[in-house]
Amino acid sequence: MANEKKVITFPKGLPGFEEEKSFILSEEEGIPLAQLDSERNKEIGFVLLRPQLFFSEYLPGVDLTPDEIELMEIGPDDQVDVWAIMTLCLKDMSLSTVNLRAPLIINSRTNKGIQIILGDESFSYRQQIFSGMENHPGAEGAREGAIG
Amino acid sequence: MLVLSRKVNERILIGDDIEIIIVAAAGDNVRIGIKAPKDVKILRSEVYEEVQKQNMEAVSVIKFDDETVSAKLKEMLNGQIDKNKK
Repeated sequence: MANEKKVITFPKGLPGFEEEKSFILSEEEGIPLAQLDSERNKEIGFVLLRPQLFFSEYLPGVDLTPDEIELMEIGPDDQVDVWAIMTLCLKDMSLSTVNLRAPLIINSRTNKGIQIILGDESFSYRQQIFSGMENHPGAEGAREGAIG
Repeated sequence: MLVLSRKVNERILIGDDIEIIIVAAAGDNVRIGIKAPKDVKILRSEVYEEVQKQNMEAVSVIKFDDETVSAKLKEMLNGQIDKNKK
């Protein structure tokens, strides 16, 4: 099912899973979806989505701190990949959400990654993907004019 | 841990370029202003806890090996991508 597999190192782990430093990223072909599984604990895995295809105004650039740049060994010509962790709702898939507040940033050259937390509070931890699209993340005035 | 008492409008300096000011205090609510270089990460601690919680929730429901779930998800995502193109 999954195609290309890469081992990604998260030197700090992920919030809640700080001890898991090594994950296998399996990217699906033809769809901006991937699976991220802990290498040592098979019970720990995430479904990832490339958010930019769904939220066009999302994160045109990433502001990384010097620490983060060092951690991922980002060089001047490096490109980073942005992924967001999905929370699937199995009972009703249309209620599945994606965490836009805390995206995963991966340096595709060094295969090192980090989950950053954006300072911008208009990005949601639980952004709906399939409904509520009118509330675009980043558009703070989205609800202006709504009555009730 | 260093504990300091401050009044409203009084400041604390940390190192050469971080300044903290007590903007207002009312009951158990304190408003704090922070001046720091852009590369210093400042987060309310609940924010990290919220991400921990969300990550744990995201992992607990994963059934991606289940072909029916992943097929359904892909179908819905493709539908959404098509919709966004229009």
